[in-house]
Amino acid sequence: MSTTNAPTKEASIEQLQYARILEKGMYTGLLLMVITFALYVFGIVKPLIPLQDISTLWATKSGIYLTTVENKYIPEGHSLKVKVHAQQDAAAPQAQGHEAKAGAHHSQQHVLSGWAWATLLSYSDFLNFLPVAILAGITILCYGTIIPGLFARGDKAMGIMAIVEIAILVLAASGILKVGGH
Amino acid sequence: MQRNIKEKAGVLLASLVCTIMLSPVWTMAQEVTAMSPVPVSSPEDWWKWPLLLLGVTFVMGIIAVLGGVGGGVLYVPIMSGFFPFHIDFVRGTGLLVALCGALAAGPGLLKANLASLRLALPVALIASTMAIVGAMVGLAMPPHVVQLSLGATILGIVAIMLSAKKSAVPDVPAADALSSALRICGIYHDYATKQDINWKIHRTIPGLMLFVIIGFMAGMFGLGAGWANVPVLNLLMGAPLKISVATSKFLLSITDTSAAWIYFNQGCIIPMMVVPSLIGIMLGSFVGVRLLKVAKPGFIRWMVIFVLLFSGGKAIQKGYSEYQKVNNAKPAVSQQVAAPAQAPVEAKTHQ
Repeated sequence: MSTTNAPTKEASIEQLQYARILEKGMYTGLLLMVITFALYVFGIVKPLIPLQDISTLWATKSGIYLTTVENKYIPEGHSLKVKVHAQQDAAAPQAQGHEAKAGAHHSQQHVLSGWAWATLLSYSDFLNFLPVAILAGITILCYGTIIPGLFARGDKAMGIMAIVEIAILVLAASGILKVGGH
Repeated sequence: MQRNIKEKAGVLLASLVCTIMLSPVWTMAQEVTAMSPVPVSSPEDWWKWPLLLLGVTFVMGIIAVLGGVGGGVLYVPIMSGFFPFHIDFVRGTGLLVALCGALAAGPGLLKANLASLRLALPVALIASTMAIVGAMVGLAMPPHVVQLSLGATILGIVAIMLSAKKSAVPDVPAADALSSALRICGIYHDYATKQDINWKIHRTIPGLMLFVIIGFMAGMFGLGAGWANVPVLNLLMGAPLKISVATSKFLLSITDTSAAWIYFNQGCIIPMMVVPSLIGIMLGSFVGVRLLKVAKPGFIRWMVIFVLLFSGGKAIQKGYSEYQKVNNAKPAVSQQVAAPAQAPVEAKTHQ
């Protein structure tokens, strides 16, 4: 492996470090994905959305899918359901008519967006989101491991770029960024 | 003799699989399925869906390897055009398909020093930022506009595939100031020519500017972006073809990650779609690599171009018919202002 800043035939230490973490994360994510999907599809763990309802839900826009799941499938008493009711109650006094109320509901952010799925991990369908999050998140960890090495070798520009990249990926993963409906 | 027969059988199998999968008759059959109100006989038959997805994506994985394209670029137009899935879920799954392909290939390419981390870092920074913007814009846009733009993009990709040349080791007289400052260069061993290739890049700023557009489109359509990464890295910036292909593949693991999070956070991921698709594509890729030895790449390439043309046309047609539906619905909605609105739960489809 290359320990100097001059280019060599071998990959740099940071490149090899990155590759090792990426490989471990990828195998962990894929293995978990197969296990959690088996738990889901063979009915070993109960899903939140019944399997026979899925084929009607995936034809709808994601916003409608989320509204349906929030209203129809999340059980009463769950913390997300409490939030759904609170949202509907808050929207109700502002509504002038029935359709205005529905419109207000549409314009609100969905309770089930962002990391809300983490509160539903006891259901097999939402358990499948765990490996997806690992696969989508492993790159952040890879970047994190190479930063000390980059700075130690005086590679400040690349080190700063790696820090900014982590900030961008964390921002994307955080769920802070909201998308307006149409 | 026996080997000859095996090779011919392999070619025949590859051709047969591709012909069935890519033929308009097959895709029309899928269209009919997609248009039916109850797509697979009854909700009790839900188990047919993962099997169907597994089978279709398995064939797609074979074709993607043989045709030299990423899984996402085939997945999104075919699934959104001919299956009953909403384009939101198709784009989310398409990004994960491209991401998993990149995650699977990335470690090996980095270890072999074919994918360059130094080349990828600045490019990824721009592409992943713009992929987030693209994903947010794409999710905020009406589905018919997304379909129309997707169709136009797919036809553009066909044009790139038809016209782009490749250069094994482009001539780079001198590295530019930015790439020199960032020390974006390297050496790799080419086993085909048994030579060590010293490489450097030029035109770094125009190249990075193009990744603004590439990242945006990758996020907006969930296509992955290998089709655009390679020509820019190879032809414009002057990276050798092998370095360009490997770095592009690795780059997708970063670009698609950022956009995938946006789709994930907006509820555009359905495990029943994602997992069979990922498994199918990966298994198909393994078989595709084996068939690569015997398949005729020219023939497969033309079939991929043909199916992309067909899918692009279908996306435009679908987008246009949705646009007409929206336009026709507007007067009806304005007349029903006083009527009670239906609960959102009742809404069935936006297809």
